[in-house]
Amino acid sequence: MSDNIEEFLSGKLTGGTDRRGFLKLAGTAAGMAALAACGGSTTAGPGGPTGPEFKVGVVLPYSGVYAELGKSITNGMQLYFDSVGNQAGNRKITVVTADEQTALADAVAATKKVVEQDSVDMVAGYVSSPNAAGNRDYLDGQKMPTLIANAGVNSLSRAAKSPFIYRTSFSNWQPSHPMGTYVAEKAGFKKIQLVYAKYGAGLESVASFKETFIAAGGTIIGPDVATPFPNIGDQTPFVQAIKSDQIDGIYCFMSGTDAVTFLKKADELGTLKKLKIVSGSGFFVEQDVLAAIGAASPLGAITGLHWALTLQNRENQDLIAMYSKKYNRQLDVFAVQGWDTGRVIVDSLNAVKGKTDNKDAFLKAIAAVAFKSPRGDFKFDPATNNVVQTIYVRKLVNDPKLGYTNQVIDQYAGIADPGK
Amino acid sequence: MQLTVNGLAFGGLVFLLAAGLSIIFGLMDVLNLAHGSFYMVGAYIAYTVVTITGSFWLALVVAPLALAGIGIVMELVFFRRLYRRGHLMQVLLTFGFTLVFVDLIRARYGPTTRSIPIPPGLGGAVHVLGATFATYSLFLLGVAILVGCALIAVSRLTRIGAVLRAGVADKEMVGLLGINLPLVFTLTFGFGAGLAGLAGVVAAPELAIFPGMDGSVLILALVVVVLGGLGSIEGALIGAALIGLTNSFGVSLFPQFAIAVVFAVMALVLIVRPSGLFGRRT
Repeated sequence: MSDNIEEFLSGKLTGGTDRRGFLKLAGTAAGMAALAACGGSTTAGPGGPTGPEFKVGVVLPYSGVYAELGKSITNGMQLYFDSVGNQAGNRKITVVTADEQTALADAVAATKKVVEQDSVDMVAGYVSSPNAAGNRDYLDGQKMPTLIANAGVNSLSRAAKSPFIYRTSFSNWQPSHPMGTYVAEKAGFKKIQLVYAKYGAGLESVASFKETFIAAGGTIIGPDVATPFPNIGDQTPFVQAIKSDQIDGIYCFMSGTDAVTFLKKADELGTLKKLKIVSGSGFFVEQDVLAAIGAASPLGAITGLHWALTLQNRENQDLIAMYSKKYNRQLDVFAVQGWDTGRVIVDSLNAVKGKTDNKDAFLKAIAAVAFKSPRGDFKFDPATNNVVQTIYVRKLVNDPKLGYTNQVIDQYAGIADPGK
Repeated sequence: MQLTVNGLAFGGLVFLLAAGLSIIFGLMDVLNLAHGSFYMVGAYIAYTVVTITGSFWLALVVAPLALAGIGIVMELVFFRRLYRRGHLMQVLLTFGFTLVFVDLIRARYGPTTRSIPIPPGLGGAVHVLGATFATYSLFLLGVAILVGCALIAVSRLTRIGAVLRAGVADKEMVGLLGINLPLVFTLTFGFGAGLAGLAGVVAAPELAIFPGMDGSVLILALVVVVLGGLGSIEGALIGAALIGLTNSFGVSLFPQFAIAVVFAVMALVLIVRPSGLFGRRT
C-alpha cells in the first residue's frame, strides 16, 4: 500500500500520474478513502466518476480460524472492482473493511462500525453463519442493502429472510441436495452412512442429502458419525465408527482442518478404500484441503458444489488467470463468491445509474442482476433472495497438470433453495 | 482393544505436552499458557524442515533444541522478573505471548492449514487379532512411553531429579543448601519448552498445522496436569492415559457427550482427590 502512495505522490509532483496509476491507487484498501478521493478530483481524466462516492462496508474475518476465507473473498471482490475501474453508475466505489473475527460480539461491533461510523451505502460479507444470522435483525432494522458472501445458514433464505439481504454464495441446502439423487439413482448406491461435523452447516447439509437420497430409494445406515466442531481430539474413533462392511459408502460434510485430519487418519487406516463410494459436500475435498493432505486425498470421491477449479467456461478460465496473476495463488470457491458479490454491486449500481437514494429501486435492481459467473449462470430467486445456481457433481482425480483436483462429471442446473 | 490402544496413543501426545507444563508449574509455580505456543512453533518447525529437507527425523532433533533455546531466552528475559508477582501477572504475560506467537506464525506462514506426510515406514495400518491400528499411532504411543519412563527415571534416580523434586517441595530450603536455583529454573523452563517442541513435531503428521492449533490441545494438557496433580510426572502420565481413554471410549459409547465426558472425569477425580491423582495434599 505504501508503495502505491509513494508512486502516487511522486507521480503527482512530476505531473505524471496517468489513469492507470490512479486506478491502482484507488484499488488500495480501506482507510485510504480521503486520500483517494482527493486524487480523484485532481487526476481523473474525462470519463471519471463525478457522482458521490459509493461506500461498501465489507465485514469479513481477517483474523481467527476463518481468516483465509475472508482474504479470498476480499481478493475476489477487489479484483472485480479493479476490472471495472472501481466505479459504477458514475460513482466511485470505495471499500471499507472491518474484521468479522470469529465471535458474534466482534462481528456485531464490526457491522455497527461500518454502518454508524463509516456511513456505508451497503454492507457485504459474513463468512460464519451465526455471525450472518446474528447481524440480520440489525441490518434489517437499518434497512441496509446487504450481500451475504459466504454464510450458508438456510434460515436466511427462509424464516429469517429480509427484503434488504441477498445471498450471493449458497444456502447449506443447495450443494448437498442433488447429491442424494445422484448417489442413489445415477451412481446406484443405496446404503449410505452419514458423517459430519456437528454444527449448523454439517447438520443442514446432511439433512438436505437425506431428503433426496431417501426419496430415491436409498437407506441411511446408522448410527451417524458426528464429530465435535471443531474436533480438537483424535479422529481415529470417528474413522473407525464407519461401518465399512455394512454400507456402500458415506456422505460426509466436513471442511478445513477437520477434513484434513479426518482424511489423513482415514487414509492411514485404509477405511475409505474399502468403500464403494465416498461422497459428500464439495467443501470436504475442496482445493484448500487437497493442498494440505496431498497423497492422502481420497481419489474417486464424488462431491457436490457450486463451483470447481476445472470448470471450462471462459469466465472461470479468465478469472483463474487474472487471480493467479494478481495474487500469485490459485483461485478458490470463496474468491469466486467475492468476485460475484463485486459484480452484483457494480451491476445494480449501473442499473440505477448510481441513484441509490430510492432504496426500493436499488433493491429491485439487485434482485434483477443476472450474469454468467465463473460458476455458471447466476441469478437471484425472488422468493428467497438467495442465488439460483448450478450444482456440479465432481470426481476427485490426480490431474497431470493441476494435481489433486475435482473433475466435473455431472451437473444440476437451476438449483434454488425451497424457501421453507 | 482397538479403542484402548488408540486412546492411549492420543493420550501419549497429550502427555508429551502436559509433562513439560507440569514440570514447569510444579517447580517454578508458573502457569505457562504459552506452552501451547511452543507446541505450535514445534509443529511449524517440523513443517519447514520436512518441506526443505524431506526428513522428519531431522525435524525431530531440530525442533526440540530450537524450542529449548527459545524457552531459555524467554525465562532469562521475562519470567525471571515475575516469580514474585503472583499468578495473575504470569497468566497475563503468558497469555500475551500466545497472541504474539500466533500472529508471528500467521505473518510468516499465513492462515492456511498445512500438513506433513506420515514419515516413511510409519504409514499404513497394522492388523492384530482382528483389530486395526494406525502404525503412526503406535509410534506416538512408543515415543510417549519412552519419554515418560526416561523422565521418571531421571526424577527418581539422579541428582538432577533429586534437586527438582526438592525444589517442588521447598524452594527456599533448596536455595539455602547452596544450589543455584535460578540456573535450575532456566534449564527446567528450556527443557519443558523442548518437550512441547517434541510434542509439536510428533503431532505434525497426525494433526492439522494451523495458527491456533495450540489452543485446543493446551486445554487438554491443562486438564491432564490438574488431573494428575501439579508437578507430578507420574500423575501426568496416568492423567494423559485416562484422558486419552476417556476420549476414545466416550466418542464411541456416548458420541453426543464425548467432550463433556472428559471434563466429567476430571470433575469426579477432583471431588475425590482435590489435589489430583498424584498431587500432594496441602
